[in-house]
Amino acid sequence: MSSDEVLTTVIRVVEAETGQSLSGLNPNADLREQVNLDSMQYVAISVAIENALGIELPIEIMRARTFNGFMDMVKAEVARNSAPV
Amino acid sequence: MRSHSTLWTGFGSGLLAVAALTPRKHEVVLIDENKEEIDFSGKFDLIAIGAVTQQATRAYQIAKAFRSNGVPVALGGLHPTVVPEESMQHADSVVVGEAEYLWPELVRDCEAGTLKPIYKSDRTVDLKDVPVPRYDLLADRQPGMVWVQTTRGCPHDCEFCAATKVFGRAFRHKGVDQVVAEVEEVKRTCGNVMIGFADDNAFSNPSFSRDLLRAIIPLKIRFMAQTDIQIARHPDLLDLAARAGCSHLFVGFESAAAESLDGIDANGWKARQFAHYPEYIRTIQSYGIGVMGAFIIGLHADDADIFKRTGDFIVENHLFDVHVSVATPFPGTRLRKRLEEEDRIVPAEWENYTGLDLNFIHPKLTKEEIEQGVCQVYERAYSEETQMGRYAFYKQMHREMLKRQAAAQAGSGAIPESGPAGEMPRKPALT
Repeated sequence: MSSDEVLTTVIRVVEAETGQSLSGLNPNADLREQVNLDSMQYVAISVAIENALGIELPIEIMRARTFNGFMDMVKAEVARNSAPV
Repeated sequence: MRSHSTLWTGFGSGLLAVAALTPRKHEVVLIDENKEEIDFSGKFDLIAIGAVTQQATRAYQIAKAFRSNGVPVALGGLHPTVVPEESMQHADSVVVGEAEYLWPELVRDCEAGTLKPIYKSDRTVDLKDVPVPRYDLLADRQPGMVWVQTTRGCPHDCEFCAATKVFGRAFRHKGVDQVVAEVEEVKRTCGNVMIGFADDNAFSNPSFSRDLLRAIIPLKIRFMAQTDIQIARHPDLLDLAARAGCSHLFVGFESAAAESLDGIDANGWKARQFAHYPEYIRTIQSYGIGVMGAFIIGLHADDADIFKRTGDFIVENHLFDVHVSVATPFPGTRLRKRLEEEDRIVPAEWENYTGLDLNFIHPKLTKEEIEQGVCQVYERAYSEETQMGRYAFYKQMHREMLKRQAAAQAGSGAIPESGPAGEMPRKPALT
């Protein structure tokens, strides 16, 4: 899966869960504040992304504050899963 | 110890309701001193201040400043309602109890220059007479949460709580259409914001709650509500709440020690629930709903072990969030009356009634032990280790919920409105 496809999937999941468009999002500002995400939504989004991408996100992703920080961890996990064993 | 002045996020709906009761011919300006400066030289015809006990000292200072400029001041809210004689010394008028049947008369009297020192009604307000609060006054403030009240009254009459004195034990509720209109107004004025149902005990009337939750499912909101633990006995309500967008429920467990619950409410109800707490919490969580627990430290039977026990309870039950406070003899409570009779109240200014300061003589714990112990409980509840464990737990709960939803859908070919006891909710998959 390409980096753009991962990005598209994550945006689709977040928009579906929050009911908000991410078009005006500042990817380097606090994600939870911008989208008014509560902790239970963050859990739901994490699980939905895992299901959509076939990965298991590391627990450390709860520390991610910005969208870019979140995406870096998602992409790293996708890459780790697609790397040859 | 000094706490921040707002223990809850978001602006309370009380003054917004008062604004809605004010004839539209008058301009209403809302000032939240937690976030903005007060212009004491402003040209106002009347100042209305709502205050809980912790805010009373500051409310009196503000009232004095405006009155010195010739602007009349009316005080209302919880504290003036329970100690009206005190509040009358600091204001032109005091509104005792619910404002709905009193405020229009007060405004008329203000227009005529005939304000009375006290406005009090013996009539219990029919909540169907309550107008939609002026949420438009919050529109440019970007609130993190907006409070919507659907009910008043709580049957438990807990020793530490003055709400029963204001709203009574009888449960009253607004009409479903009325609440829907309020939620729609919040969405229109404040956008996609978390809604907090500002009830003392939401879901006390399951029949009303079912109708309400069904009606708000299409509104696609996120909300939290304060309730007692008995909602865990109503899986259909949990199912509806989850599908209506319930993020978490605020539950007053009050203590992690069974012996400290003895006598806390009028009927011993909470003490009887204690043994079921873990099972009930797990039931709520299984619907993808977080449980925020409220605890009071410094109850009569508490000893030095209470801090560890409270921390253990929070961690072992994966509480989503916690509110830990110090037992406080707020005026109007049975707790204050008892402690006064026992001569155990320590004189303190109202500004020290933060819910984090000890203002009475505890039989087993010192002020320092309690205040430091509360900090330790918070530190443990929000340590990185606890938060990571909580995140992993709720992820697992969410995965299980999705699996059961999928199995239920595959089995029935449809999404039932609610499942039988013990089954998981069937809300549509997230992706």
